[in-house]
Amino acid sequence: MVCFSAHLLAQDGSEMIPIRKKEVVGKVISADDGSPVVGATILIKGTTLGAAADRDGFFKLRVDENDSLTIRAVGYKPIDLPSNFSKMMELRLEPNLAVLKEVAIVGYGTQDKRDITGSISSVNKKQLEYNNELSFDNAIIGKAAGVYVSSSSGVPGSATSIVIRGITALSGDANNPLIVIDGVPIYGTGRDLNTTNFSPTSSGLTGFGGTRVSSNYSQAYEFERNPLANLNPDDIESIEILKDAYATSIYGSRGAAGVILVTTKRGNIGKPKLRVRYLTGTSAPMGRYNLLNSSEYNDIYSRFNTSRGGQPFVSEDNTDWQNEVIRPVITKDLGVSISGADDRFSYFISGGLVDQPFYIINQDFKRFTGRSNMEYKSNEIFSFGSNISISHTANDALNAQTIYRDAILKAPNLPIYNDDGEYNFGLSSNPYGINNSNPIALANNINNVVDTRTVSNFYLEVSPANWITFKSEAGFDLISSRSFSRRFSAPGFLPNGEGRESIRQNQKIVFNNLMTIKKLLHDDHFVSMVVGHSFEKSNEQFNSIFANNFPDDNLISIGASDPDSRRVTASNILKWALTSYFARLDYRFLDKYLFGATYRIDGSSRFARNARYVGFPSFSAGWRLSEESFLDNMTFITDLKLRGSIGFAGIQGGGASTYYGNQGQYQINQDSRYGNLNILSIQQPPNPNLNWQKTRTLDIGIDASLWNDRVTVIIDYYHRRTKNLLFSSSIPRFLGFTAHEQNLGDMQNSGLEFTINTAVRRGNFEWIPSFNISSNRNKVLKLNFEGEEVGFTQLGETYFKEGEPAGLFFLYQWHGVDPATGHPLWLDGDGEISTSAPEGRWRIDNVNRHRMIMGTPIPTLFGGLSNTFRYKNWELLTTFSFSYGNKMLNGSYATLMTYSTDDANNLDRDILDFWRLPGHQTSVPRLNNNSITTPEGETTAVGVDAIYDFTASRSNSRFLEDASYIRMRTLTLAYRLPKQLLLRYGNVVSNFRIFIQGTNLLTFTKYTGLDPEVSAFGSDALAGGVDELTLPQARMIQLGVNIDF
Amino acid sequence: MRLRHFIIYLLLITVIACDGELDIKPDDIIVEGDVYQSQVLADRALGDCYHLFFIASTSGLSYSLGDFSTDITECSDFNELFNSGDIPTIDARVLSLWTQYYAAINIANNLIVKIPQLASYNEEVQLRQVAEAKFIRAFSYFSLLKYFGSGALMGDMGGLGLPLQLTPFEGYTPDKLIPRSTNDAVYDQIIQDLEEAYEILPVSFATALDTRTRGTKGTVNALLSRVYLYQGNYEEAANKALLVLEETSLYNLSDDLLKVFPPNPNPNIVIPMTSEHILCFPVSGNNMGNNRLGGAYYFKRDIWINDDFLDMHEEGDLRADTLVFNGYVPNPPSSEPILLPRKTTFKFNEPTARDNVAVIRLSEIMLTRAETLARTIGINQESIDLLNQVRDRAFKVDEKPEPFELSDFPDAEDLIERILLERKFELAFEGHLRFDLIRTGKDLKYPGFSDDQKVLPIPQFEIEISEGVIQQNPGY
Repeated sequence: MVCFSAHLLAQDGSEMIPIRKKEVVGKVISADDGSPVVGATILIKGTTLGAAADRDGFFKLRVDENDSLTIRAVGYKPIDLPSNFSKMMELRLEPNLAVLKEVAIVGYGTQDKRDITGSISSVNKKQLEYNNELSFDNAIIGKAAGVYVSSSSGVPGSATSIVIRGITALSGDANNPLIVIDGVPIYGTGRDLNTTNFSPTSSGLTGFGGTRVSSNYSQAYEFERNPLANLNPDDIESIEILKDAYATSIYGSRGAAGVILVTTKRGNIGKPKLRVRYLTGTSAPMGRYNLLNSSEYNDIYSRFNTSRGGQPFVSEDNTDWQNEVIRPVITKDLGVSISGADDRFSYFISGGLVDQPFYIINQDFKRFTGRSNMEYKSNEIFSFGSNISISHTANDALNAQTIYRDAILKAPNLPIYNDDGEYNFGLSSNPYGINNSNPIALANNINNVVDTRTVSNFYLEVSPANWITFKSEAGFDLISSRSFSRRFSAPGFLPNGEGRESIRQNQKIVFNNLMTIKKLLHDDHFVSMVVGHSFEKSNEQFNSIFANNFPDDNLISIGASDPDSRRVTASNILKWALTSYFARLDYRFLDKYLFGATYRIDGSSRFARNARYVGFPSFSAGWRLSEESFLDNMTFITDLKLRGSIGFAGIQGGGASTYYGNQGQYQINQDSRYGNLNILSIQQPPNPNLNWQKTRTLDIGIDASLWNDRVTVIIDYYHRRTKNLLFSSSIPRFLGFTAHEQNLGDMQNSGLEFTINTAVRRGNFEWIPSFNISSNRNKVLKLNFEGEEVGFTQLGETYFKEGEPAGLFFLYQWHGVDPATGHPLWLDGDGEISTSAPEGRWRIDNVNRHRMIMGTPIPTLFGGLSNTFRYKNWELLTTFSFSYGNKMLNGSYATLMTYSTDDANNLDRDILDFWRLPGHQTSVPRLNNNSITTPEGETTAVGVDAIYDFTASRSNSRFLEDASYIRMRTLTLAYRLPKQLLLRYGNVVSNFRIFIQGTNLLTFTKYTGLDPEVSAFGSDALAGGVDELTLPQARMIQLGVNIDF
Repeated sequence: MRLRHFIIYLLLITVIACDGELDIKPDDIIVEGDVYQSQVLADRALGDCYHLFFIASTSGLSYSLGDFSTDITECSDFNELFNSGDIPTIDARVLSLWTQYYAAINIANNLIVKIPQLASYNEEVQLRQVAEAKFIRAFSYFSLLKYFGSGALMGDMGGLGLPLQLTPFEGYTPDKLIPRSTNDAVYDQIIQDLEEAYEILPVSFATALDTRTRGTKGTVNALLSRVYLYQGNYEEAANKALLVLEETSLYNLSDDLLKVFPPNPNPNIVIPMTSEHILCFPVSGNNMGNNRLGGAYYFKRDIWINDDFLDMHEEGDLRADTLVFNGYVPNPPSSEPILLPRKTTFKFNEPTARDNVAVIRLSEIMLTRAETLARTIGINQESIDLLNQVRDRAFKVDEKPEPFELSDFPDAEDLIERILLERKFELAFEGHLRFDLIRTGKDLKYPGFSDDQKVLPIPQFEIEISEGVIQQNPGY
């Protein structure tokens, strides 16, 4: 009322006394990007008179000549204008970084960033501005301390492995973090739910007898896709990676491997803003293998085969198969978004189209995404909204790995086509080889997976008072995925073709009810609290059908096959539910002392009633040293906080094996019968002693902000101890089982993380470097009754031993080639140099004693460096990532050095340096050497395959390499069209940026394969570090524009 | 909406999503409680038990060790290790032999303990299922005992036998460890199980296939005669054998060896069992996969016939002629297979190992009766008749040898030796000889072995994981 009358008085006065009034018109814009600052208030100093900037940032105000003004807006530094300002003005507000970054997303809420006592890494939309990755997990490589992300291959949409602060569990899938998008825990990474299997029934590859490679790799007919590739990274506002117990415990039984929170964009106050982004460019493999040509191939195989009494290779065709399957491609990526808001309604609507053909022939990837995020505030109390995303991803590149591998290995002396123009599947005059294969013909087959997915949530918020909010939300993650593989007929081995169709429907519904309280009591005590309940239910349904008799190749669908050839190969549904109660309490005293506590109780349907509920507590404390008087004279310190936390989190495991933990489980065995009796096999014995695995994490950290926020430093030390590690461990055999899930293990991870961000400004020049480095030491403290476990994974025979890191390479020791004889030398467990392969002694010796621990695929140090240089309208960005200490088993090289088998595959050119005469110093043994032999203690009978090639064994240190690397991931040069130019064209376009970007241009590594950053086993972190002609990542050169209207 | 209303609404949602929502049953998995409430499912679990017993009885060392550790075969160095007198305690095949029989025993234990606890269907069916499980359990323990029991076939009844696990596995804690019982206790358990099973089991099942592949009164008696024979209780062995021989409507000697071991050119053909088969694993034309024995015998990867053994046969003995052949290895793309140069047994003649596997044949029981009678009452006409019947069958109709007569044998020892020789011919390559040699105090393949060397070592793994609760056999 007082204000009102003052206003009236002022108006009355103007009429009575003719004081010189003038009208000023202005526009308030952000100094950062020139966008209007909607809602900025312009006040006449000493009065309550003023105006607010409208949607375009404009305001109008009548003032006295000697009035001075103050302009304020949330998130910007206020400015004062002295009395004699002009009538027309443009006011540039500097963003107030200290205020802007204040709010951070945490589990089930937000918190003032400066008050956070947990350990959280953030990646914001600015860091993703020029992103060209399909999924955000690839985009954060090297950008978040403690987060190690590695791509499994170059195939678009293929899996990544995300490891946060080291290995947490001994089953691959349980090492994947929980991923939460706008409050919905989604189906995340992991082999179980994301692998498409397309095993053929008749491979056509025949092999009877002949030499076998010991510990060999065989390419699985499967593709693990990246579930995060369904989400358009361009829609992301920020990514928070929760790492310590205080941050993750609120996710309870799923928090131990870390939690990634993704928040999508909202509309900002202002008129509708249209943003268009287009990116196009070329893509090519990072490298190519150096293979033999036809005559070299003939030479090597003729030498080898005639030395065994066989026929020479004489076929004269010369095909560069590798070259034939690689093609140049143009990628396209279009994104459009419209966003805006007023004080009631905000919206963000986007659409995206990615067309990323792969560099292998006929292999394509297309994605369409749409998003609609809206919120409406009906009054001070109620608001409601929704975040809806929908995506359609068609991955037509599932055959890429097989085509590539087949092409690399295909004999170069064979033609693609026969004389009659048909594909050649035969061996011509070659005495032996991989029959029935033609990678070019294979590329014509259909093999794809189409995902349709929506991740959405709907919410209602009620704020009866400004300190309390209730929120109810329903979230959905619905995936419908159809994979289809159709192999067309081929002469001889596949006369009628075959097809496989699999449908996966994953449906998750989650309900969250939250009560949030934020209240300042008596000025010094600030309390913030969340209490909530969450219920989550998931149905994972899978059906697969198969047929292998099609009348014609033009008939594609399974329904067109001969009914007798059709089979249902899988049809089942897995369900689980999780009900949870949780709370978090944060308390701040005097702006100096911070305390926090969280607790979550999870009840899971996967556990039996007696062990169904489990609680996970955590506690934290922080001390803001910068508020203490003893630091007053250290003026360079803007903010300094010491924080610590301790608490627990768990893993839930996955798959069917965790159902009904303490009851015996039986499954119908369809493949066997005993006489007239059908069989019901025991899948899992009763296990009443099984308990939840728990991880205790201790974290101590420092957050420092120096020289007015110009330098920020974050340092963390953590120590995680996982107890009751779920581990399928050996038991006495007389009990009837060989192994049994038990809580036997004990493991720890400890590490240091260091992040520094800074900015240097000199006039028009700006340099913003950002660097992070993390170290992690993993150690298995207790394992099972034996204290070690050999051959844990499919390949590489991953080894576990108490006192050592998890996932060791455990290999026989290759000792080079004897220059005198050309035979391989080995170092056996007694330290003796031996000419016979210790691996071949398994029938007479405990061969494990000849093996050595040789490192792990997980780096001990990793991190990233990004630099942004700006000069006037120019911007140059570089991002690097690096890893140190990780090993890779170069199975590609092992395969390309294998000439002893009946595959007669093509070889690496290194083979040409095979040992020829005494004194020849080389790393390649003589072709017919005595490590290609029968195992010791075995006698061969005629025609029986008992010859093993130990020189190419994967259990052999010959192929283990250091895969440490430094990679320049992107190099971007951007140019922003000058403002004046845009204004000249009516200011329709408010921002126009054009950029050129190179991806994977430079890699420094000692690894001799094509790409140190691949994994033949997808997201499984424990089975990483194996390269098996795995498709290298793409090197891209792209041109892009970002236009804002 | 007022604050109070909202809180009520919130509570409502919370209560709806209550604990009951967590009771979710998997769709394609059956939990134990349900299995034993259904006759059909319990029968399927019994099928699993038989199947596991089949796997244990035919994989790795099982079956073939009985032959390749004797002089009727030659074998690869891989197998010859078992003739060295120094078998490594870490040997993987020894461990798997141990493991696989105990896997079958565990399922049998489940059936024996849980059917009475949980089942509510026809009680007769329950009893029959339990009896069959006891038969499998007894047979499995007996098989283990003959490999691992220290002195079990040499009359040392106080020697270390086996850990007798008689309850189903329900989670492991170290207090579940049990030491090895004496041979005596193991024999007692085997005989008790068999006697109990005998009371319940039928004489025959509705189909011939079931009768010849599952536990019946006849099967139990036949097994008991073998158990008593190995134990040295000849009187009981003779009695039980007689009970089988009296069952003439079910069990007769076939007139043609090639009916018992027929040529089997095709893995998909079901080869019927003869009335000579008392227990046989149904592999031919069935979907049980291969019998694991074809590799060893057929391709002679590891085992081939010693020519001296063939020479020991009388002229015209078809067991050294018709039942012996050269295997061959298919050699695609050429249509000409590679003939193998050495001889192998025709008892496994299907290249992909889909022959039925004989476990107990009537001729064994006849020879057991003949031998045990001779051991208990000396030279007697019944023993000689049984011997003659078995021998006579192995010759062509027009080439039959002169039958033996009482006067051919100066004393009982000579008769016993001749019966044992016949047993060697008749049961060759069916995994018997090793145990006949051990129980009669004869040398295995090579002379000079101590009694301890004739017993396999307990797997080192088992000793280490049990922290010594399970003890090693003497001599290892």
